[in-house]
Amino acid sequence: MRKKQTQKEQNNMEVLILDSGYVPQSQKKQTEKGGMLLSFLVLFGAVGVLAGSLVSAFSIRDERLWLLIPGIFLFSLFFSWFYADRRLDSRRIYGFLAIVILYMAVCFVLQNRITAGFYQTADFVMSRINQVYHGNMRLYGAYESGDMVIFWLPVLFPVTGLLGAGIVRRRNWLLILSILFPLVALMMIAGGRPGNLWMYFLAMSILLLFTAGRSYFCGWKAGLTALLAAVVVSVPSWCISMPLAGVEIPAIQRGTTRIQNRLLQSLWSFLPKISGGNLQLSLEGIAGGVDNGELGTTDGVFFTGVDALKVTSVQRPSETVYLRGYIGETYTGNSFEPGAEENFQNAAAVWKTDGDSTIYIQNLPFLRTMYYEKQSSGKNAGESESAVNQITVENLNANPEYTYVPYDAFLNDVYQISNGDGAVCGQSRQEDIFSCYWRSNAKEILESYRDGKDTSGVLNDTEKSYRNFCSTYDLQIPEKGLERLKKECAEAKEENHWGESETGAEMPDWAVADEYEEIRKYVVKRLLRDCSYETDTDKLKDGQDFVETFLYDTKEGYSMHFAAAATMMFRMFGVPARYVVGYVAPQELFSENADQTYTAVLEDDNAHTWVEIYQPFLGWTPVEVTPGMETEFVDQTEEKEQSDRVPEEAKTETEEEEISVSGFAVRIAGWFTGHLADILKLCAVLCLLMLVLGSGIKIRAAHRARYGVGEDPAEAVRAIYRYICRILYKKGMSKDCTAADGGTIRFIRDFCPVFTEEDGNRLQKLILRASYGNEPVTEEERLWMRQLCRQIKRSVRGKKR
Amino acid sequence: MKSKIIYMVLVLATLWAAAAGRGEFAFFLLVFELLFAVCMAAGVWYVAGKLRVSAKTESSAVTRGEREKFILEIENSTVFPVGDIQIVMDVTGAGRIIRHTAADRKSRDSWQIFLEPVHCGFFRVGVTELRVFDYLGLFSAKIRIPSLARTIAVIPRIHLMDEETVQGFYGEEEDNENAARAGTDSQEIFDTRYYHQGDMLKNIHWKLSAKEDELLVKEFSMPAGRMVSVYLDTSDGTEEQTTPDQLDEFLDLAASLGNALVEKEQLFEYVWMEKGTKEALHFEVNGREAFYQALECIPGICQGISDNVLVPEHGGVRITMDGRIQRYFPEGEGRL
Repeated sequence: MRKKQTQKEQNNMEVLILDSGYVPQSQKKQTEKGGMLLSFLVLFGAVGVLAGSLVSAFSIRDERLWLLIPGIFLFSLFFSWFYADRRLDSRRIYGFLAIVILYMAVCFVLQNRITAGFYQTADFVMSRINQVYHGNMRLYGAYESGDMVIFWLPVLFPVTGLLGAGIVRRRNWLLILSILFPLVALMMIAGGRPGNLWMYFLAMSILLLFTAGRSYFCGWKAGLTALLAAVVVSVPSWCISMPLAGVEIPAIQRGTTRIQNRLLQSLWSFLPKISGGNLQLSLEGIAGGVDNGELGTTDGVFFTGVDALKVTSVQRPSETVYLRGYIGETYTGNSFEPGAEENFQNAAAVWKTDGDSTIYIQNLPFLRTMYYEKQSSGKNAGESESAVNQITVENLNANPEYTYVPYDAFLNDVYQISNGDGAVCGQSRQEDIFSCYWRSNAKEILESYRDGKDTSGVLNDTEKSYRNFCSTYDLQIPEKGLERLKKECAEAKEENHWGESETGAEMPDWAVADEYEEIRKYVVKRLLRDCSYETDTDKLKDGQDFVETFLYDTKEGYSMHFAAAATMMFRMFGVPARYVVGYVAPQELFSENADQTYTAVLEDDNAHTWVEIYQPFLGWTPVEVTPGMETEFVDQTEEKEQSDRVPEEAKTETEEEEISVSGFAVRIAGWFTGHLADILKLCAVLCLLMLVLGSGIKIRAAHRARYGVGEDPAEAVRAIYRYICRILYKKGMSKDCTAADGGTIRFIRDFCPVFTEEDGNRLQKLILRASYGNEPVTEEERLWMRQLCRQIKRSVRGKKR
Repeated sequence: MKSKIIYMVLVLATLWAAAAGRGEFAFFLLVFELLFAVCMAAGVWYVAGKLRVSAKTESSAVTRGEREKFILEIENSTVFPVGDIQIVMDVTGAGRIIRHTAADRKSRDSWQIFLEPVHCGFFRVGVTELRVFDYLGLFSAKIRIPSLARTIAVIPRIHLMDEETVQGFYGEEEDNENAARAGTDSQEIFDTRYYHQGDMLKNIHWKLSAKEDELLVKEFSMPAGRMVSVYLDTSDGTEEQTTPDQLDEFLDLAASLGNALVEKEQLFEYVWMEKGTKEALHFEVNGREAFYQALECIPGICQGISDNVLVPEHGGVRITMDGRIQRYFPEGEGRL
């Protein structure tokens, strides 16, 4: 008997609302066995679809994976019986404990094979993550067949049990979704992409469980009807959606990519913390850091609050430190590919190099600068000490595929150079110590020996040979494409007479350097005049040329765009140029340490792209063409003219760049990503506290309602009586039995032998008096009622009529 | 509304995923969600037009403290089972109640609710609205319903009365067959009383009058078969002071006395005043059936204490709010 609060009407009528319920037409009642069979099928289907989706999402392959099907079948059968059989009603808790103990025992016995299976599965998952997010997680390399099934079956067993509680025992769509949703969400976050068919089955399963759970039917009729309707609707949906599948809305795509990147960045920051450093994603896989020469595949989003490199200089930096990472040589239209090593090796075979020619070429600028510096110091005895600096680069979280090397640095033999004269390969050491010259010092020293001096010698000969090599391979322009740029550059070249010697003879190095300077100014002006800085750019579409699209269509981009365009323009003007991706450390970033060294910590947003040109006699020189960055090679007047000409744009662009890179929202996002682990911990603790508190309050409220705690004795007696009735209904008492007609009393006596006739009379009178009588109920009677309730509970436990 | 908002968010999220180029399935899911919602809306509108509803109760009266069953029969002639039908009921003394039920395909299912009135009186139970929801809970449609309200009388409880108490209303204690009661049977003098204007001269008891030096009139006993008037006198109660429990006790007493009289095969009538009526109401009871019919009428007292005073027309039994049962004489004092 369930009573509700009532309201009094003006005529003092008071009506209690008791039980209500759906009564099906008698001949159409579903049999119990039929219901159990349907529940079993639904459970089997749900678990099967979930397992199938996970296997498909991560492309898990194993020859014995088919064993999961009978395994899920048996689990579903077991749990269907476990939850549906009424004989277990009062013993289910013991059964549950037995299952848990047995399960743990099995896991203990098979722990080695389960662990092996876990590693195998983890390999599939991690390789998927690496593939989707360009991660670099190391795989476990476990490949023994059969163990994966032994891992999956113990995982699916409790999942089946939990789902069974929400499917078989009591159709509770909230419980089901609370199990399914986290699994599906984790699967998607980990990059898992089940096939379309599996996703369809998953969606249909969720629809079935949800509609059946919210229906007031006892069985699965409503859910199955909804499922049937869904299958029918699926056909026209498929026909309509297929033509639309290719439609993309760039603005939404861009926004989605940014949001996804932000989420992934958050994941990146706390995964290592919760996994003790075992789970790491590389920055470039999450739209940050130094990746490779691909153009236009990601947006200009970079990490904030993530340290990439730590740079320490012995001398106080007087210029921006450029650290080279990836070097791209061949332009393909949508990327800069590295140079071919074969070309270099063939050319270097005839050079006079000492040892490894690749290392020799890398060290050439340093060696020549040191040679000329010694020559100068020898002539000017007593002059100041060597200008050689020492820079230490410590890789914190940058892409370990590269070693980040400053210009004019010396590399020892441990380093390996990729593709001949390309990027320096990454080392296992975290710290790299380079002896190097400041670029300005090196330029000054070399320029003083360039013009008209005796430039014979092995080093210079090698430099000339290498110069010729660069003039061959670093002037390459695609035969097809870039037509507009070719025409523009040809016209500018002709107009300015670049590459034409007045006398017709080979131009001296200093003349070439002057011409290169003119060309550099032209390129920078051209880019600044017509293009603007923007990080939020569209992805490159198939068939589009990156440089032409930037220069003539979008006219907006960030360092990648400017550097790529500048590289091609320099080449078209006859200047050997390469595309470089690395890190930039402005001198303002350095702070003095106690030991009088200078340190700068470079974050991911210090990653940068620039163009380097080969200046005769001087070697590779970085050229900055991105608006807002420091332009070292522009003289003072030129710089003033530039800022006068486009003062607003430059400043606005600089401000915009500052805002776009470290704006308020980004700072907030950075703070959150930096403290995400702590925030999550706090949320978890709060959730746990709320759960405990909520459970405690609920239990206490249920206890108070059950025994009428806090109510007057008459209400307490009525409350206890209602509780007794609920217990007895579960044991089969008809809902028509009342205390007034003695039905309830008779039922109690059947179950409770110690319940005497006298007790029965007393109970009947007490209930009638508490419900309708005028005499008050005493405290002793309330206590007696409570004791009686406990007695009845003990007696009916385990019994059924 | 909540489910609509959630579904809208789901559609927007799917739209976002589809527009952001997240694969063919996103497009399919988007179109599916829209079409399925349309399908649900159409389905619920169709089913709402096909459902037929009727209501009934077990009886038109229920004893105070006992349960009454209100049954709603829903006939679904469509092939679609309906998983969620919202029933909005209005019950006097309980207010607005909302419940849910279902209806199987091609069937005549029912839904029942048990009501237990606490006090005597009348209460009305009726279904004000029936609404069908689709499987997702997004859309709903009203079902056309006839008047599904029922008024139920809550009759008082009958208790067994002491033989002595009842006997006092019939006659001498030792003679249950001929219980003494005031009447006009001249064969037997019941009692004497002082003369009132209007009494018949032939009823004056001259001998006693001479003795007492006061005019005394004879009271004759009621012949068997004469009707007893049972006056339900609420004049000593007021609207503010009278509680429902007091009224229940009052009516219980009336019912118990009536039951006793019926068992004695004594004709009687209930006489009472109701709020809003100027004249007293009478209900003659000449058998068990009439007695139960009377019980369905006298709870009208519970609608409020009448402002008018009940003036009994002739002698009988008077039940008062304080729970006393007295033999009543129109004027002067009578002796029990």
